[in-house]
Amino acid sequence: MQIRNIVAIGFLCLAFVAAGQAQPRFSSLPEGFRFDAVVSGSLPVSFEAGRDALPHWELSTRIGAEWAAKRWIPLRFEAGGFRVSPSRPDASLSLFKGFDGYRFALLTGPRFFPDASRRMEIAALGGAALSAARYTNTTLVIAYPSLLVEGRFLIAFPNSPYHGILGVPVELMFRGPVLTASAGVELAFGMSFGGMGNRR
Amino acid sequence: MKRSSVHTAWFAAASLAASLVAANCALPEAPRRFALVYGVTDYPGTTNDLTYPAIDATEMTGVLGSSGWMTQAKTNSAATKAAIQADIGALSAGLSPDSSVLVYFSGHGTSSADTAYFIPYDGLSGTASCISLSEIKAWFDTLPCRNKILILDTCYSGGFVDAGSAIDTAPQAYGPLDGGTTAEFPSSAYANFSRLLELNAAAVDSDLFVLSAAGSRELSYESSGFGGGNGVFTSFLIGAASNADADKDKLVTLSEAYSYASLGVTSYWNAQTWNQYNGVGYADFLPHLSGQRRDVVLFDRR
Repeated sequence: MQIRNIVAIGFLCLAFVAAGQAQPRFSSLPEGFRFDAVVSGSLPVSFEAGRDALPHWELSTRIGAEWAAKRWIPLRFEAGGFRVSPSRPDASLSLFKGFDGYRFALLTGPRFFPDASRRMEIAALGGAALSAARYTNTTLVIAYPSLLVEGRFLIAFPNSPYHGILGVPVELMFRGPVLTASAGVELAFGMSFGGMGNRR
Repeated sequence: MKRSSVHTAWFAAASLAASLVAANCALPEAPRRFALVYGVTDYPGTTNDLTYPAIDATEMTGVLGSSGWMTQAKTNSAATKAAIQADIGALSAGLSPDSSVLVYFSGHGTSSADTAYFIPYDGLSGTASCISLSEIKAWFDTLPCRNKILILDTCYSGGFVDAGSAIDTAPQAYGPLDGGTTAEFPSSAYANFSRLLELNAAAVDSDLFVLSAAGSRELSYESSGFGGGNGVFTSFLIGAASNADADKDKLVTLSEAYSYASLGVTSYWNAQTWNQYNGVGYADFLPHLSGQRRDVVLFDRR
């Protein structure tokens, strides 16, 4: 599933590039709508009372759409697919099942500009997600809520509507009696549609 | 510092480093894993006899024995209800929390008033002489280990499988003979999102893993065409020990074995023409796996 998603994200980025040809060009990160396609890798760790914490790995792909206000991102929507591997087994050869599925998230948070030209942006987002997944190799379907925190660094590509994102996403998944916390790194390619100011 | 003192200090430091390395590299003691394996071919009288459960039990004993389990097998008249209960209870003294206990049974199963039972050698006289989920769970609950596994190759064995906080998209009545329904794709189960979230919020993990040959309203079958003559499900479960390691880590988990056996039953039994009448697979069935978040290594091939 993830290979297909990564290929789809690749095509989406190409579509961004094609669509961007008709878009206004910016020298900085403008206010307004923007979209991005994200690939991320994470290391989740699952905790259960009285048992060892056990690590997994996770690969996910997402598309995001957000409104960027002057110093705030009032709303970001993300939809994507993910795959979490089975965990490492503990001493008793018990482990947590892997799971793969889909996640929908809403985030919000402030954004800052470390340089006067507003070519770079740092954003700190927080939010919540609902995920539906299937335990890998089984016919069992589950759903769970999670909390999200994400630090992001954006840089505008000069004289274009495009920008790149390097992010550190952190997620806390509430899987019934099991808590899974994950931290990782994400890379994204995005396009600003703008709407206010900073046009050349 | 004298030269000899320097040597002594170096030697002490090297010894300390060597012992630390040795302590960190020492292999942990292998967990104690016990498998009780039962198969009843020859029930009292002749009308209820099967052909392959004792062979299933013998072959499962072999494959479990070569996969890290200490095994004990009983077949036919030795596989009584009292013997099964006593065998489980007798393990208690030798177990630690990291131990695992597996019970495998091949033979008849039945269902009465929505309760599934498997039928030991002396279980033909009524449901009180059979073994239900609540009974075997009570026997397992006396064991101090965390990993308890029940594998059943019997009719109606899906009645032993609790989907836990998950929704099982493999229907409990799949075959047309059982008035069955078609398999539900996970994507359509996602449509039932609020129900899934409710289940997650109310989730209580069971430490009993159950793998069943069939659904709670399905029959399971044996055939000379599978393995050297086996229960259809068991033949694929035995094959899983060698072929189901999807992530190539030399450990075949219960869910990997389930996936392999389920695919085998679907492809080589449900889809075959000998199982069809007027284009309908009259004897279709699907294995089931309990739905807790945990998984456990079934076959250790390291």
